[in-house]
Amino acid sequence: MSVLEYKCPNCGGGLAFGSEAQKMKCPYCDGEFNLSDVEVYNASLQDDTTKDHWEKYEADSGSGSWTQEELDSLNVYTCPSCGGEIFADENTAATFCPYCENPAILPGRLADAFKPDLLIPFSQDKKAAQAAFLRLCKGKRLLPKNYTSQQRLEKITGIYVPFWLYDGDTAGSARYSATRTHVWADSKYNYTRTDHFLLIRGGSMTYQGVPVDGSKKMDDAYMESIEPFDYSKAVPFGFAYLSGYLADKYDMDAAQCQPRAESRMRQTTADALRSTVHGYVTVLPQQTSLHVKSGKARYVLLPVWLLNSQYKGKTYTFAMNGQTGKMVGQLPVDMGRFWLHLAGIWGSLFAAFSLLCLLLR
Amino acid sequence: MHKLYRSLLLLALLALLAGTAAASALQRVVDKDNLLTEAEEAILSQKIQEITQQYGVDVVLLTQYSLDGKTAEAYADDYYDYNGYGLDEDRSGVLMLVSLEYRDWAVSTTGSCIAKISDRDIAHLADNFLEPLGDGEYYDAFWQFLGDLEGILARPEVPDAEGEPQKESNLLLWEGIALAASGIIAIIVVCVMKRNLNSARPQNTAGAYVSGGLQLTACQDIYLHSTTTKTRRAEESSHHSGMSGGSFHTGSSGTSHGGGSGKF
Repeated sequence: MSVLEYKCPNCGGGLAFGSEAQKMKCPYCDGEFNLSDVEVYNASLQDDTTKDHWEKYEADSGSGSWTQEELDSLNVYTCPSCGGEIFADENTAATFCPYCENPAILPGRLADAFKPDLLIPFSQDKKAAQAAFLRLCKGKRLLPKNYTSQQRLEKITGIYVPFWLYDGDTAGSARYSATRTHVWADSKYNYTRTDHFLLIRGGSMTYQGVPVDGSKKMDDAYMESIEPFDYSKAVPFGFAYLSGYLADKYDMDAAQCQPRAESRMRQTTADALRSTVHGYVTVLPQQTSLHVKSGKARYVLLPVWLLNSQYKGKTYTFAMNGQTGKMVGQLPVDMGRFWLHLAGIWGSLFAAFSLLCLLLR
Repeated sequence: MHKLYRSLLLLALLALLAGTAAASALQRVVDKDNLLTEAEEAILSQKIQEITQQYGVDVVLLTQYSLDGKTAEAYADDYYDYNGYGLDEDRSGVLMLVSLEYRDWAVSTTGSCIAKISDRDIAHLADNFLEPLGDGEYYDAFWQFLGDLEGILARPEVPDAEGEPQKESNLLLWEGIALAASGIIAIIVVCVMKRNLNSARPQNTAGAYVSGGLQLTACQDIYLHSTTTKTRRAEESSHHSGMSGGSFHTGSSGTSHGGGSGKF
């Protein structure tokens, strides 16, 4: 079970991807290196010919070897830096060694069908994510005290979330019944004439890169809230980008995620058709039929800063788009503060109203 | 000189006495068309005197065959004004006129009676006296009128004239409304604050990923048919203004009157 780690060509420390310079950065010697240089250097380190070579002794000491399935279920990896054991769940593709905190990439997890087509590197660093979290919490009077402690801020982690990007063409038609009214009057009566119309609309729309997250762990509402990502900044996948972040492989394949993308395409096309109807008093949809012609689905890793925190047994999530900085989150409510504010607002409003009543009397 | 003063004083005293005598000598039942017997007039006068003493308003019953081309309403107003009816400064009182020439009736209210006797009250009075009036039972009609009038005058006065207790309960009502309104506003504000703590919303559309926009392939608006409805227009003005008091008009003497008139 191999674990990939990128060593610093300078000092041999574990390198991490630096979002600011978009280069590999050494946290020990502060050296910055191009991704391609690091790849070449680390490939040379693994080349057996550059190492001392020992002939193997023949031995028959064990009862046999682990099968691949058994090894996979173990999910235990050895840190190449310190030799410590790294436990990872079955979807983890990049993590940290719990002993030496060096970045550890598990390339086997992203092999073959799990190799992403593209990846958008992080552009926002941890400090930006921490500042965003503080901004989100600012002015929230019902938030529990000390919720924005430094300890909590440190727990914000960057994670590459597996996404499927769907391209597709939608074609559809819709029928609406609509009315227009004219009102006039003579000396005795008011008249209302209602004209009834049948409206027919048809059209097509093309979509590129409708994202659906392919991880069961991630709440769709959060992942959809931090959209959109700028795909023009996407790069071909390389392991080096994962260094210093967490990464998961997908556990929902393209076919499982497709209905969500299609439902969003359908809704958008239906809304677009409806928006071409103008100048009527009432418009009622009679029938809408939409067909989605699926294009290709691409598998990408998208950068997300994430913070999961527990409050009174419930998990609250903060998420920030690691590329654009767009953030969302759910924050806990301190019920003591809730009732305090309710009573305070009620009391002061009542006092103000009463004063007004007395003055107007 | 003393003689002159004395005679002037005497003259003034006489004039005052004459005036008082004239005022008290004013008939409250003026039966010019002779529709009532002497005895009936006496009973009605007695009843009027009771009402006047108890409620402080003047009441006049008038029968007149010809109205000299005036409307019943104008005739009633003018008769009341020019013959000096009415008590107090605002000349409060009620006059009921019956004219057989064109079978007109009118009730004219003056002073405080305009507010006390609403348009609805006039309609109620008319409802009750029109039947005997139509049957030629004039005494019954007048008696009915006086009875109903007494009932209206005996009613508790309109709220704003009642004073403190009403204001007190008004204040309590307003305090209650303020308590409820501020409670509702506070709950809304706190719930909005609570809701703002969760900013994650699923996106049900994909507008950000559309390339090129909507290509319309069909766009037709087909006219089917029309339907027309007509409703009668509301009357321009309403003769009833509810219990808030009577509507009023101004007579030829410049005094304001309320009341109503009609045929029987």
